[in-house]
Amino acid sequence: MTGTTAQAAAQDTWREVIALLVQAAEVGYRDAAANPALCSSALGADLLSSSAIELLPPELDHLLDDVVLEPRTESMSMAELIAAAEAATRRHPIEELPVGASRVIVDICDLVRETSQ
Amino acid sequence: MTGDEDAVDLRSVGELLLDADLTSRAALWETGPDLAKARVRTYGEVVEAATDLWAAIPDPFNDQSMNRISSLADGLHRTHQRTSWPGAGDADPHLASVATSLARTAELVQGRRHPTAALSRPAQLDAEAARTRLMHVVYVSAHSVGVALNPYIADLQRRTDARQSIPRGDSLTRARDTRERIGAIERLAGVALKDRWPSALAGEHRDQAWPGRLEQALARWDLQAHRTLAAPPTVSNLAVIARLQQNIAVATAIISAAGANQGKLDPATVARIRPTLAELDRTWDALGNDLDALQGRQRRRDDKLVLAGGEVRAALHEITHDRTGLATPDVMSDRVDLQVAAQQLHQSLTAAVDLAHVTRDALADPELTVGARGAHELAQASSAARTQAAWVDAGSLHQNRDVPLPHPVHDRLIDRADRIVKAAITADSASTALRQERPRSAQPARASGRHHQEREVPRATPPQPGIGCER
Repeated sequence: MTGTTAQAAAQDTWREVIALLVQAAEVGYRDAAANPALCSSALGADLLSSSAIELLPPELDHLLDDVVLEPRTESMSMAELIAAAEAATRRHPIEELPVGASRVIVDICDLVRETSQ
Repeated sequence: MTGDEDAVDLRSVGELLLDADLTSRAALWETGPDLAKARVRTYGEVVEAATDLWAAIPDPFNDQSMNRISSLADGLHRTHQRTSWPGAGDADPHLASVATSLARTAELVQGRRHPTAALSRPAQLDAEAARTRLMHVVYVSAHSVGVALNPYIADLQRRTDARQSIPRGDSLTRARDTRERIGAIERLAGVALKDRWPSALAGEHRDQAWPGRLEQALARWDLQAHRTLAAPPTVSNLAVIARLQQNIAVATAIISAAGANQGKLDPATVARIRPTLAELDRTWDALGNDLDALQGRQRRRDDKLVLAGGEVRAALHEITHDRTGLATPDVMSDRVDLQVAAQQLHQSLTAAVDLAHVTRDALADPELTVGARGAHELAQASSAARTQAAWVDAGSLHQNRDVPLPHPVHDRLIDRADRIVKAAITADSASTALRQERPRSAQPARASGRHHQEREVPRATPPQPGIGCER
């Protein structure tokens, strides 16, 4: 894989990470009605998705609409979706992911810790 | 490190380790043949500092992973001395910073811990987390050397293939040998991390909640939310505001209940406030759900708003949560003065009334646009009983373009906002009694150095606001 192709693939993965965080937030907000403890982590995932979007070129924002997550994610809990987002970041060497991804990945790891102990 | 050399580095062990981790990752984005020799030169310092720190962190299992890495790095260093490659020269700034942070961390750990002192369970978990992050630094730093060596080797290979001379001081053979040996270090570190990263970081020690953090975070949030809404409104920014305000309502209920449980707040007052906070939570949540659905391509948010929101979330989370659930009232009480925290939150409810009004104004802004697909679905859901009209044109729907609010969606959002304003006013009124409660655990006043202030004669009239400041 050439450097450009690898980085394009990593950007696709990054969009998937964003979609997983957005879905985690939605599931978290939905489940917070019964368990208020989830509200804070849902907000954490929501804000983190914003930080992740900032790392992508604005002219490609429309590609976020085209991300299709695996069907199995539909039944996942908020914690599982955040863990899936963290796992997705491991598919590429860090230098292929958008510049600044480290900080977001560290924050995702914190969120994994918050939600899966 | 930059700045004054005499300046004392006040960062904690955790902050230094995190900085080393992030700096080592930052090195991965800078590649090029010119960086290779400096990075090879400096990597030995990283391993040396990491080995010292590893030895300083208590380890009942005597894990030898870092010692094996240190042996490999020592052997590589001897080879470099013997072969004079990469030779003397500048250090790589990223890896030099990593080595400095690790050395400082080792000093802190060595200075604080008695060598034979037994560790509590939390301290053991913290030590394991520190070792894991340290190994990750060594792993990523090794990778950064490989990333710099690759173009260096490719460059020299190209010259060799073209029968060009290799510049003095460069060596294709030595570079390849070094890449292999640092690759072995990277693999060793990778194996050591396999079952640890990031799960072992869970035991990392977190500092106690800082008393002023919540108040400052709430004040900054309120200011930033108003500033953001002073600009042309976007659905994505409004959604953050809705979710954050919902979070504040939820946390206020949790902290107030804990305060009542601990005898810090009047239980009857807290019981009166609870339903008003629940309604405030529901109304912001309902708006948040609609706005989430309406986000089209305008997903980007004001980064200052996100930052301020993140700080409020963090300040609340460190009080209200313990592991994956809510902390017990006892634990919350150990972290902060619950009466003070509850009063700060209830004061923010007053500001929230104004923010609710401003949010309503923003939703009524004719320039506000939303995603076509979300608009179509919400319009259908809001008006299905009345009409089957197409509220969004097919082209916009297909491309999910940003479109003006269809009437049914506009009416629905304004209705949501009206309910929020009403709920915010009710919650603010209900919490008046709580804000005026005097400290329940206050000690009798004792003589102190504040006599002068205490004896000061009160002003006959309060100071008047200056011109232009009347509100």
